[in-house]
Amino acid sequence: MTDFLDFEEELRSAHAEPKLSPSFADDLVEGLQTRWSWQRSMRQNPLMRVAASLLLLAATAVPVAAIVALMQTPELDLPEIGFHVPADVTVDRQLPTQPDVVLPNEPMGDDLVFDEAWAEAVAQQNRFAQAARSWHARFVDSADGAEALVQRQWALEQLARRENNPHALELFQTFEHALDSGDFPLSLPHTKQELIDMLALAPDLGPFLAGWLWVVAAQTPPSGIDVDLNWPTAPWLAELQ
Amino acid sequence: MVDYPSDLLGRFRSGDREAFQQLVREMGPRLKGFFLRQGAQPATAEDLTQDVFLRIYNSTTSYQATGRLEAYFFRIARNIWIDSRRKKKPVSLGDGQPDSVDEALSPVDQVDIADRAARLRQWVHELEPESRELIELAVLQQLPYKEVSDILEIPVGTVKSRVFYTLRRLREQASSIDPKHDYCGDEQ
Repeated sequence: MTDFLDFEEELRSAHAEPKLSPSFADDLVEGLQTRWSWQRSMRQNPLMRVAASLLLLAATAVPVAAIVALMQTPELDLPEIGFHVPADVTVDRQLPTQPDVVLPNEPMGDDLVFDEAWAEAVAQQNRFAQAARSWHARFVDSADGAEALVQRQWALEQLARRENNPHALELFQTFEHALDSGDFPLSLPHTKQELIDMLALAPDLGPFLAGWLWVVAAQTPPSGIDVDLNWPTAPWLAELQ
Repeated sequence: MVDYPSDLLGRFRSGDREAFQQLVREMGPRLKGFFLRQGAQPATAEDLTQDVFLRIYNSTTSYQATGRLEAYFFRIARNIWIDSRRKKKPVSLGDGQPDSVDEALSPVDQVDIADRAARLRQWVHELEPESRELIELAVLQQLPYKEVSDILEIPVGTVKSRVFYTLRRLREQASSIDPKHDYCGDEQ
């Protein structure tokens, strides 16, 4: 038996192990580093395991929650979708009996009693409010208002062209816009005397300027200036007298 | 035989540099010798040895700490060798193996021993593959018979008997050419 063991030892001596090449370890390290795998990464890196668990949890949570929500949601009595037509439609469009005017405050001191500019400005705003109300009553609220407004604008434009007075037309359009919007102009375009002078030079422009004259000076065209207040566009001005 | 720490493989897989160096230093030459004796060329043997380490490094199967670590390595090595033989027929020459010559001997003895060692290697190489594997694992690598039977998937008794008969045949060959080393006559 000893001979057998000796012979085994001789066999092992005859088969001494070869040496590895000098680059073996480096090549192996390179191979280990390049062969990245999920399994190895998961096995070696606890953070990878945590991240993978969170990812799995997040990926499964949504569908699971949806299924649970579907299973737990009670049946809802959904209302029938449709339209209900009201039996009667009534619109309250009563016009105010009185224009919405600004009442000047009582002067609190002696100095304001004599502030004529302030008092005149308030009076002009009130006249403008009255004019706007009359204008709306005639051209907006009345049954034939829209037709009357078109007729008025057409007639005044024809008149302005005939008189070759674009300045008057511009004045008219500014006034119409202010009446329509109800916003008192920040500054009045002309003084009372300028308006009277313009009317004296061109009486036909009365329907253009009469409204401004009334707002500025509480006057209809003065005597000596022939303004036809019965002209189709003017009756609303007559109401202001 | 080397007793490896039970956690050596785990540390190797975890990227422990010291464990890596120890395994490469001790198992690398043995694995390369295994492949050379199976018939691989030196370069191929080294590549296959690298494959063994890579496969073990990437393996998800847990190593049974109760078994010998070398047995685990050689089980992987044998599988890799079988895979490589399926892909390509190896050159069946056992070249590239260094001679283990004791330089303290006289030149005549050195030549004699070198010649005898070469013959022993040649005879081992000429064994049928099954017997060569047995000698490789049970004698050269000194794995326990139980581990060899697990690797080769044959009964332990078969391993013992085959190793015995193969060794006896080799010893008879050695005695026939060199009466100085007459091992025969007292084994029964």
